[in-house]
Amino acid sequence: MATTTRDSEPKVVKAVRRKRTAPERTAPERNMTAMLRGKSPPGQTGSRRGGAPSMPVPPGAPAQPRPGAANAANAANVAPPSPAAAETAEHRAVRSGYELCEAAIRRGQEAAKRFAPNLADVTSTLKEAPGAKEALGMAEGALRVWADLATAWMRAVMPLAPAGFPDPLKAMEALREALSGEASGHATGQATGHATAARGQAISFAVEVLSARPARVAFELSREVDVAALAVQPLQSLDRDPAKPALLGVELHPSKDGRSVEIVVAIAGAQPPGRYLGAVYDKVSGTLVGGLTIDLKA
Amino acid sequence: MAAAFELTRPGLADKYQVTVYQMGHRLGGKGASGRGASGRIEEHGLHLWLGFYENAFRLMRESYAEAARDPRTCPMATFESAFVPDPNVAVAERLRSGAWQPWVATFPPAPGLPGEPAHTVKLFSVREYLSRAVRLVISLVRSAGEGTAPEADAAPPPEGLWQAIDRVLRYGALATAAAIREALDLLLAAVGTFVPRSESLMVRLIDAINEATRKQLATLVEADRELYRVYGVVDLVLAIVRGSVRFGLAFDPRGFDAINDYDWRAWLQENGASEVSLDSAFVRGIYDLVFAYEDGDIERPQLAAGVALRGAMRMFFTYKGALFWKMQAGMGDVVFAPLYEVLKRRGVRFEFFHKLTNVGLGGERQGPDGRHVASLDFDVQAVTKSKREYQPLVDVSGVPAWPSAPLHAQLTTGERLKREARDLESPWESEHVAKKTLRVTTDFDFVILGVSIGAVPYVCKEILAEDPRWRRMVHGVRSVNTQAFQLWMREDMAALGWAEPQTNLSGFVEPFDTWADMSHLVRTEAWSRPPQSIAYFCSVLPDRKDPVDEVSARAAHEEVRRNAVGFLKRDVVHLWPRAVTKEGDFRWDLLADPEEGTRKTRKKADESRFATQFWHANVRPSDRYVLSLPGTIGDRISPLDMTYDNLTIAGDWTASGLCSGCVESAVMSGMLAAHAISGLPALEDIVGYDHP
Repeated sequence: MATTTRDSEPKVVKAVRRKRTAPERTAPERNMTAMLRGKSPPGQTGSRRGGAPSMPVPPGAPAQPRPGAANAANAANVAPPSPAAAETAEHRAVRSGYELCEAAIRRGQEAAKRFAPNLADVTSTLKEAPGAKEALGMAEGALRVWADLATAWMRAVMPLAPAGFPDPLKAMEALREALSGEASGHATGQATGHATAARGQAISFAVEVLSARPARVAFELSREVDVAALAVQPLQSLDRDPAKPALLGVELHPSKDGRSVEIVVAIAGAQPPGRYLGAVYDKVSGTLVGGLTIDLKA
Repeated sequence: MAAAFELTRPGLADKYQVTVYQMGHRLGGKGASGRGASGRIEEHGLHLWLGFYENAFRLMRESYAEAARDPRTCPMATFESAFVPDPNVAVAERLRSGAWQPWVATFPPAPGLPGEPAHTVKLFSVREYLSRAVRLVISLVRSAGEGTAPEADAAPPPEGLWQAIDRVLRYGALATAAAIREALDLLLAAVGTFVPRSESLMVRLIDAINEATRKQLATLVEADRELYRVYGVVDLVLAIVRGSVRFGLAFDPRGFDAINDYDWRAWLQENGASEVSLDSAFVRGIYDLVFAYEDGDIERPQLAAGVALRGAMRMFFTYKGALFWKMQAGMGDVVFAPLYEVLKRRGVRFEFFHKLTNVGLGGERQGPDGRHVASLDFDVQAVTKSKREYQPLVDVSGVPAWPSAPLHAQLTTGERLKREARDLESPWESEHVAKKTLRVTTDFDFVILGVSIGAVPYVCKEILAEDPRWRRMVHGVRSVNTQAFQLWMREDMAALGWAEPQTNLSGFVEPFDTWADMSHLVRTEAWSRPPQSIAYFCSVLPDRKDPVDEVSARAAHEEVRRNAVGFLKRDVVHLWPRAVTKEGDFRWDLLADPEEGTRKTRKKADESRFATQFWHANVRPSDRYVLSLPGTIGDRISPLDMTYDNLTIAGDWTASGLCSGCVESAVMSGMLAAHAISGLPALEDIVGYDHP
């Protein structure tokens, strides 16, 4: 039993009772993401409170729960992340961004390491080795997915940055351009249409938008998935207005053969315009596998 | 103690004033030890430190450095003089003849030293563990099959990895030793690169290797004990690898916690471990090490598989220096005395003889002030004559040490307490000279509840009455009685017939399955005629049917005495064949009497002489060992959890990340409690907290 008091306070009756600050998390992060991020260097003890993101954080962005915390919180039942009632739009934007990017990075690293434990030798050795095409394709695909998702996240959180903050999108766009021309690790459906996910595991999907107003739909998968287990969170607004309601009318309908998925987006007439983002997850394992973004015009 | 240490680090010294309230006369709880007659060390049980206890060792290193004891006057002035490596571990195997045979293994020194600040901690990953495990199998199979040293790692297969595995599997039963080795090499490569979709292929490969290994070694195993052991370890490690792949542990966000609803042995069995391996001394030794027997019943071994796997992986693959480290005195002297010195110097106040009786709540859950700890009630068991702080330590051969009994001369009621043999560490002792109530904002801001889980129902009645999560924890996080005895003997271990090096042995016969040779402690005690050897024994003690109170505690104490005497007469011969007479009785004259020079009459050299030794029944609620039962790990509350906004908890019974009953768990929990209050240390600086 130990008690603590503040030394600087006089030992008389104090009017204000002190309370603990809510910790950044209450459970270990036992997932791969935490391992890839590694340990804080010496001398930074305590400096990572509020969570050190793997991606740069615009100055002024609010401190956030660390990515993965939601997954680690309950070992017995991993549920898809759900936004807390008190979460602001900024919170949601940054958290979703972190989760998507980290999932993409994780998958990218796994893919890149799959055939080449020593990544430095990839280009020189693997090009001539059996299976080189597949390995390099996967590595490039992973990098592309990362670039795509990082760009999406940048777009989402840049409005939160204060004036004068340097625009990192240019660098991301340059990376995307450098990688263009190959098979894509994601697909984008616009209004009604279809596309195919690459990486050799063809997953076709069709997007049906029921809306009186124009809407652009981007559906991104960062890893190979069991189509039948796909599910999507309610899409949250990325705008500053916390009162803006979530976009709820999104459904995923997998085909019986597990090779395709139909995305139905029904947008209510009263839905405010703006950008909405929802995490796509595997409802069996509870892991995050991608994201669905909708730009709804006025 | 760990929480107090963190909260009073120099950077925070001006922010928090810490006061420690302690029942009785000494710190340490289950880890407390005392000095008795002849300065002998008297423990609650056997305490060994494992080489992966990074946080606990770091705390100790820092404590010794800050205590700055003078090596000219104190033989235990430095960390290095307090802990020494012990690379030997042994398990006892039962032979068909009924005899027991020790299997002593010496683990090679591993890089680094535990708790070294400069030594980078390697990131823990399931994949890294699997690679190490497969390397171990390769090494064992090669040495078993050929009697040669392990070869260097094989070159990667010329074709694609997965195609190569397909090719090997087409061979069927892997008929030759060469084919097994190739398959193991492929498995090693696959473990380093596998993705979820390759799980089926990997499981098939592991099954093929296991089957082939079993056939290859079957005939040899019959005749060769060493090979039998090797096969047992190969079988278990392959089961672990197979299970890790099947359960997708490398990718599961819960890490090893994903299998905590399974019992360790059941999980191994489900993943292909043979009955022979499951009953091996190696597996039994793991259960013995953590007293993993529900209600103390050795017929009901229960250990959460994830906790066991995490512990085993860290124990065998991440230790630094040596697998075990032994303290060079009692745990109280080695751990809690320097901590006490350092904390005192930092300004921490210690209130000994304060028995917590109630944690009182106040405020409204939905109200503006919130539900919180409003008061703490204590029985003040004794006060000092001088009205100054109680001075708890004594000097034994230059080492600051805790006495087994209070220093009565300092207490106003000391003479009476001594005469009446009052035990102020007993939860049932009502002796007190006053009552005290601390009130929030007046006397404290925050509370760190550091009692054991067994004491929570007694002191947290208000919390349990209203909070289902606390009730679930108290119901789910179970503990178990343990028993221990210590012997001081006039002959050394070699003379008693123990032919192996100094070791720690588990998996032995009940009622005492674990033995440690602690003869190195002789030099830190203060005998006029020093004994030649010291032995500690411990095991679980079955729960008693009668109500837990002082009467049943005394009965348990007597039960332990009977168990120990029976063990010495019946079983110890398997370890020390020359410790018995020709008639088969234990040689009671071996036992050294610490009061030999002061007794009026010499103790007889018969069974009654055992009364001169030390034994203990850990049946008090706060003395019981905390179990990690399957399906209960999720019931634990973390020190980080905000169940009440000015309260946190600390102890090895909390959700510490390690979740097993050991000093490392307790230290991690204390660090989490400090973080809950101050934000420091950073969670990333608690080594192993985010371990998969």
